[in-house]
Amino acid sequence: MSVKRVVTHQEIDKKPALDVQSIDNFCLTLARDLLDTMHASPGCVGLAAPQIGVSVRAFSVNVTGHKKTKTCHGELVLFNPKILSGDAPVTAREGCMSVPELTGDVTRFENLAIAGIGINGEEIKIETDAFEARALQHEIDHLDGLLFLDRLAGPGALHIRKVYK
Amino acid sequence: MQRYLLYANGPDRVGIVASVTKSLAELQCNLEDSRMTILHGQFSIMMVISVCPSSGDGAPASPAGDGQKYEDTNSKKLIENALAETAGHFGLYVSLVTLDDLSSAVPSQAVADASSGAVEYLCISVHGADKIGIVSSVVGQIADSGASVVDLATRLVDNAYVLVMTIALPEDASAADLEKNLVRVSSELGVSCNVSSASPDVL
Ligand SMILES: [Zn+2]
Repeated sequence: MSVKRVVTHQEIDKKPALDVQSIDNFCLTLARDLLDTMHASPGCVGLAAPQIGVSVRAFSVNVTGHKKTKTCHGELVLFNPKILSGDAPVTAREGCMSVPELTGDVTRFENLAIAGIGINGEEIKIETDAFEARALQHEIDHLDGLLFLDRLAGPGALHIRKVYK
Repeated sequence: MQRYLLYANGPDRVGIVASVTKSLAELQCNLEDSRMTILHGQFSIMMVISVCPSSGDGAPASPAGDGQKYEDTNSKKLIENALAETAGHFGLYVSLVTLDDLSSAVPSQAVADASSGAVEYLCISVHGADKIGIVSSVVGQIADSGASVVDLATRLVDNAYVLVMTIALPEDASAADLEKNLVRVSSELGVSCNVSSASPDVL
């Protein structure tokens, strides 16, 4: 069990993360760290490796039980993910563990198909929609060094997350 | 550190933002929160700026550059003087309000973080034919429900009026009751009203 510190947007690596060559022990440890850190963070439904300081193309997602979830693949860890197709853009407000003070209105595909490699080295293809599709696009953005702050439609799309006591 | 709230407005022209921000940067002023927009042809700026006194560690050099000490007590005068030329050139009204540390640290009434579940954010949009009292009627319902307005914008184009706002609803208030009341006042005003969730999903 290894819960890592989630880095802030000021610390996070803005360069695209690197593909893994094969699923080795490093990848298995990374997968465990992603899941442990995700489980230890209340309300967290997804975490990308750059958020725990590892510039590798890997993330974990689990949107089980979320009120906006339609299609759900449960707990996922994916390496080298690629978006195959997407359609029906929808705008919604999202936040990020690495940007704790702000939220933003971001347009994402409602329907999404992605491919990647699972922790057993198997090819995985996922077709999904709604909240799981949004979460996957958000995490893949992290692997390209992008935050939701890079996707805002305009000044009206940026919001403060807290109103201070 | 001294904070000011800067308001400026004038007929929209190219170069207002560049000129205002250049003057502030030359004085080592830091732009913090800001909103700028065009209201009926008036370019309107509101921003919180901060400036450090030059004495002490890590403070910026004297902007006067001639050995004149940059005292915190006269930073307001310096900023006003620096903006006077820009204001004259662009025909801007400029107002600088001193924020004390307390007022800048406590900007709003107490509502907690939405991610803790203690508050729900709602986006309310209202539109229809313009008439007196749309905002006051709608916001009156929001105040009665115990919610606070976080962000609000209105636009009047021809005779069409649009109001959009984000409100923070405390957990002990009922979104359903508020929506019912909003729909009622909206129909009395002959405008349509839509309420949607604006609570963020943390990914
Ligand atoms: Zn994120």
